[in-house]
Amino acid sequence: MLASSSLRHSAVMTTLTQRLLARTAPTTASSTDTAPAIAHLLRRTSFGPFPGQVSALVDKGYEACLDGILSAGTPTADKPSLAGDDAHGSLRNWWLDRLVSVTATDPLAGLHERMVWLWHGHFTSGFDKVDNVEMMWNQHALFRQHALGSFRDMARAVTKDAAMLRYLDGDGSPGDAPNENYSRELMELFTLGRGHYTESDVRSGAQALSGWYVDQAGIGRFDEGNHFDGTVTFLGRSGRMSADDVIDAVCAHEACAPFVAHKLHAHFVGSAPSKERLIELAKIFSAGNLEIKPLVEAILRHESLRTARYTRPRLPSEWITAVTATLKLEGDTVRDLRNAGGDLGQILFEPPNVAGWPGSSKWVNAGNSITRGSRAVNLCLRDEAIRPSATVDGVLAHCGLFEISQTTRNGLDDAASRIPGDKERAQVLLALAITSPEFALA
Amino acid sequence: MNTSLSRRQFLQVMGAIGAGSALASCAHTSKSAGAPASSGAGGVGSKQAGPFNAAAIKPAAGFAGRSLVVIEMGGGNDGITTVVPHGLAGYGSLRSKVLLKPEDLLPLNDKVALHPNLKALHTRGIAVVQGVGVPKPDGSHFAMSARWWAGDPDGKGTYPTGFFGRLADVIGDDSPAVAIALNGTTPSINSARVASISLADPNAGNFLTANDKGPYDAFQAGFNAMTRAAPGDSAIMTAARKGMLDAGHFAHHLGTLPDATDGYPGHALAQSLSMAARLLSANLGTRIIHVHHGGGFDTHENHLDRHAANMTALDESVDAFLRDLETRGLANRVVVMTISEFGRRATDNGGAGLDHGAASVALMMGAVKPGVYGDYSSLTKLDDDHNLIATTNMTDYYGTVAQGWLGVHATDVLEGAPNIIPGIF
Repeated sequence: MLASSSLRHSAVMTTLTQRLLARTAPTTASSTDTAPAIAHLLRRTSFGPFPGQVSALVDKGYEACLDGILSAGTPTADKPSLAGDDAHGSLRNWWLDRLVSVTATDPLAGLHERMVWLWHGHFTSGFDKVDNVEMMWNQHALFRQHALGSFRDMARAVTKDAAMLRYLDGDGSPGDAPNENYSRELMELFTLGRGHYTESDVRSGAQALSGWYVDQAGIGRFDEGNHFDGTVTFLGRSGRMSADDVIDAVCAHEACAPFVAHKLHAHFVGSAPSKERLIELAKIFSAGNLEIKPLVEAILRHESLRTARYTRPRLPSEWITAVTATLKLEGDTVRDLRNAGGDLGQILFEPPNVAGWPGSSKWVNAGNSITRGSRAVNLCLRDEAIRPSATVDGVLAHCGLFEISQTTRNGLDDAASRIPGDKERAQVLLALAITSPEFALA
Repeated sequence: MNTSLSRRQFLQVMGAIGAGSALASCAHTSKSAGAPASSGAGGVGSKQAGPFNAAAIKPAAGFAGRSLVVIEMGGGNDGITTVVPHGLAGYGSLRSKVLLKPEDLLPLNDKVALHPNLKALHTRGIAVVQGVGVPKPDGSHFAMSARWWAGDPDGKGTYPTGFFGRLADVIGDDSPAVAIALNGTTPSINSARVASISLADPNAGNFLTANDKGPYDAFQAGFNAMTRAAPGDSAIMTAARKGMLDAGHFAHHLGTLPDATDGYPGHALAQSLSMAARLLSANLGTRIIHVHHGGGFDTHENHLDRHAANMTALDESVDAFLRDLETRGLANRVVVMTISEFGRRATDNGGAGLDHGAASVALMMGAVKPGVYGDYSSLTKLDDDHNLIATTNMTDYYGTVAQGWLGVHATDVLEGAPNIIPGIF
């Protein structure tokens, strides 16, 4: 890596070097970064790291961890019990439990779960409008099936998915006066982005997508008699068109591969790709016939991922999962913490709108800082709270923070110096580490 | 075609590179969020493309005690069923299914009438601004919301701050929260000079104010240290530290809010407005409060039922809020205004719903002179997409509020030459 002893007193010290020097107990330049890099990799590819996971992987090394992540199999998920008064809550809690258990079982096997989570925020639907837990489960299962598979197959399936038909008003949309909602969002938010279609494409797409409905059993069905009877011109293609034809047209559009590649790059790396990098990734995605796995692999194996430390916010479900595991919470305490999801602005299966959850800095604004800090303090200062360490380094390692800024370390040191008793010091240090800006980021 | 040209220009100005970067999330990304709260205001202003420089602008005298409450009706509120133009040419043949019963309407004049569920506001008196929209509308929620949040009718990307954040920058002082968002965050209050904050639970800040000569004091010392910049901070790290810094300032004021008043209905909007009344009566220096209505206005299907429920929530919630302000002696110091990214399609779709439209109406309540302002959009001359054409630019509406209610000259915070609507205040 960049840090070396000759650089330490250089006036042109890089940002990365400075950060490395600020971290705990540096030894040699190359090995110094192994733990921070693996912690970073787990933040981006799983919902961890959880306590102990990074130190267990340090001997393996960053590259071997990456190989492990990319060769992990597809985990199966049995349908949870959705009976009872609060079936929506049951499904949400089942998934939040799973975010913890998948990462706890094997931190290198979290990529699939993360992709399911990503697609839920991309091809999004919400309980509020779908109002049917079985349909939401079926859509969730659809994302599990296609998470790292074919983008085209996923887009075709989600177009006919009952929850999506309800969420974006494809359900019962008649050919003679079709609803434009799905047609527009399909192009604007799901596949192409603004500027690559016209209002006429929106109307034509809606005609081609007409005829679908949700049957009594909650399954998306096609009624030929309600489909638009005529030819349409959509994204430059003309003819009688079906829903599959619409998906083929958007997937064949030159804007589709870069649009999806941009989204995935922003998700994993935490920033927009450069123009050159985007072209490169779009090429990989197109050449692979819109298979998702090769695109993800190209993003993860690139140096830009390894160096992009703390450049994106932890979204509330990531933060809640990390806090649950870091503080080893159980039972009602977990349920209570999950209620913070609403205050922080992310409730799974209830996206704020069809654009899913934004990736902006809103997650670290003042209101969310108050919510996160309040939760951390209340959880850590309880009598029954865990006390993993009474030293700053011990607490930071427990929280997966193997590199921290100087001012964050100053804050922990300052607090530690004010509390003579080990018990209280351990509690306050843990609360501070959970509240630190580093823990709020990924 | 004009619309595709403006869309392309929009993307160019947004700095879009290549096809894929035209990501809708750009509309949600706050450009100013990373800016320090009170770093030299001159520096902030000088970096902007537009003419705005908060430090150089002074509001007119005599407006200091006034506040603004903004209710955002996200999803696109239909103007035609909110302020019903039953007396205008073309009304009878416009829609086939989405029609309110004429006998239920609440008359405003011989041409237009209010939705039947806005009874309390009709009785109190309401100012209706007709034909509100933008010259070159777009069908996207996200593009249009971004324009409304920024006060940027053509989507040129001129401003790094939100319109209400910009107003706050001019009229605010060193208050811990000149602009506050309740019931959800919004880029519209993003400010460059003064503090703005989004808030979920007003009691959550206690951990930053508890005073115990023990663990809480030690925690607070550590927390404060972590708000300071460090070498190598990323943009989001800087934003995270600023969030913590603002949180600390604001928490100290939350513990002392006056109590809530009884009598609010259960709507999410009402709960937000109850909190707004407490904040406004606390002398925190809060001048602008943004609340999301909370109901869904994106009524592609079953419009009449869903919209009616939204109108009931609006009517009952604002009525309770205005009553609360009266008991607190604030009734003549607060104006409530509505915004929505667009109206609905002039014609209805096949499913008793309304697709995305363009021009709509805006409502103002509280310390306003009741009446009907501006011209209703023509029902016979629609645009190419069968949408109502705006007669009142977004900037006319915003400029009227800025200048008429808050004493901020419209051209100081908006581009172009806004027409100030006379008589509302």
